[in-house]
Amino acid sequence: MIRRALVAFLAPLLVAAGLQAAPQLLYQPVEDDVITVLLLGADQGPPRGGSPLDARADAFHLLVVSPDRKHASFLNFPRDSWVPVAGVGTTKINACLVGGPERCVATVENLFDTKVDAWFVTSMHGMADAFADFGGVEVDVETPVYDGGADITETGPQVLRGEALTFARDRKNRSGGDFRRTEAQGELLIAAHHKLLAERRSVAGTLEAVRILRSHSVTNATPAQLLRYGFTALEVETVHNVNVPGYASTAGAASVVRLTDDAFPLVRDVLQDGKPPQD
Amino acid sequence: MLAAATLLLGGCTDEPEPEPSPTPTAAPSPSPTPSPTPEIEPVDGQLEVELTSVSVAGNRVFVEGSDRDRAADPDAAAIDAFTAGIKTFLDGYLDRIQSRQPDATEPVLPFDLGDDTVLLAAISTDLASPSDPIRNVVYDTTVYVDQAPEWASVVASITTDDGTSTQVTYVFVPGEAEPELIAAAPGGGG
Repeated sequence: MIRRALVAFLAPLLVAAGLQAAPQLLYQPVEDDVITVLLLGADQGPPRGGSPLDARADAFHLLVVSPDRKHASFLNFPRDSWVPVAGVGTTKINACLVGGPERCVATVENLFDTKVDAWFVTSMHGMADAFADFGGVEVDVETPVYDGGADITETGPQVLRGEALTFARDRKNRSGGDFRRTEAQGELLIAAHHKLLAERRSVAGTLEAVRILRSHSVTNATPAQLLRYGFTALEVETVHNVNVPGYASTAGAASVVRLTDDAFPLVRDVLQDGKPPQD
Repeated sequence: MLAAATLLLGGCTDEPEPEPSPTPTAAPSPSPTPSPTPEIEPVDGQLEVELTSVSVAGNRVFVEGSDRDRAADPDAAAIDAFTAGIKTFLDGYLDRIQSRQPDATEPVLPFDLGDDTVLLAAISTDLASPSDPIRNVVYDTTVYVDQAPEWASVVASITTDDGTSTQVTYVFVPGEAEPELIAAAPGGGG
């Protein structure tokens, strides 16, 4: 009786003081060794026509969570990465989504000899609304960006809600173009994780985050998977933002990104333990 | 020395020795009355349900008005079955907690939710006991629905015989035969 009163009394105080090392909850863990989740942002669907499930994946990220659940990495692929796409042949990696998300999964699995556990796809406005619904995330805007419907004219740390789409889309106003853009998308995802830990580190907070994710994307994850992923996220202490290295090139008339020789060992290394080798 | 002193004292009195008093008999003490054992009633929680949509419809993932943007009507039968299953599960679970033998060591939970003994106790054995059984339970349930129920959170407010009220949050997904408990935490979830 005393113990339950203490638990009920102390838990919120510890959370408020930022002293709670682990969330005060019990959950069925994900049984997989590493967790790999493919996150795709489609160029179709609102504000454009078409379906995000038959589109090009202009945002392309592979989330890898370590076996001990303490580390995670977002592997950010430039959309123009020139790779063998399953069932198509060598082309830009974003073309895989024309064949549906499963083709993108097969592409990643074939490229890196791994297994993808789940995929998520959203549209541009679906993504913007998700960040708005989440209450926004704080990122450091290094330069004004405009290409997304809500201009971000101020630089420096700021909370982005629907404007997160602009931060995620703009490549023409940034040095680094597509490389910097995909990195910025990773920054948004990491900022969302920070916010989850800082403000929603509870059962209710996690369920709300999972609701937002579920209602602003399409996924093949089961409800049980979604919840387990959500609770697992509370345990992750360090998240790395890892650009898959490549260089601008051409293939015929097309501008493409060729992955460098060290891209494949880097990705495979992250797929082993959820973090880049230098960490 | 002691014997001599006794003789001396005895020799110093002329009074007749008193008749030995009858063996004292202890006054009948009231038979010990065991503290009254609370009557243990089967748990019959009060189920309160609200729905929250997790559909992508209307959330600008698909083009407005397209097939994928139309919300399907919630499957009322599936939701009823899910919530009824949750109530059956929790009623039975709490019954086992309040009815357990005091020295029982077997786990109350029929599933693996980790090995944090303090938290496990907080969501199970600390809630009630045969000497402090459950008087009242309310299951404040939020069902997350697309067309079918996807998951549910239940804040169980448990009042025991001594008047203590405790909240525990349980999270379920629909299982093949019965709801599957995915997570649990002390408190109201916040």
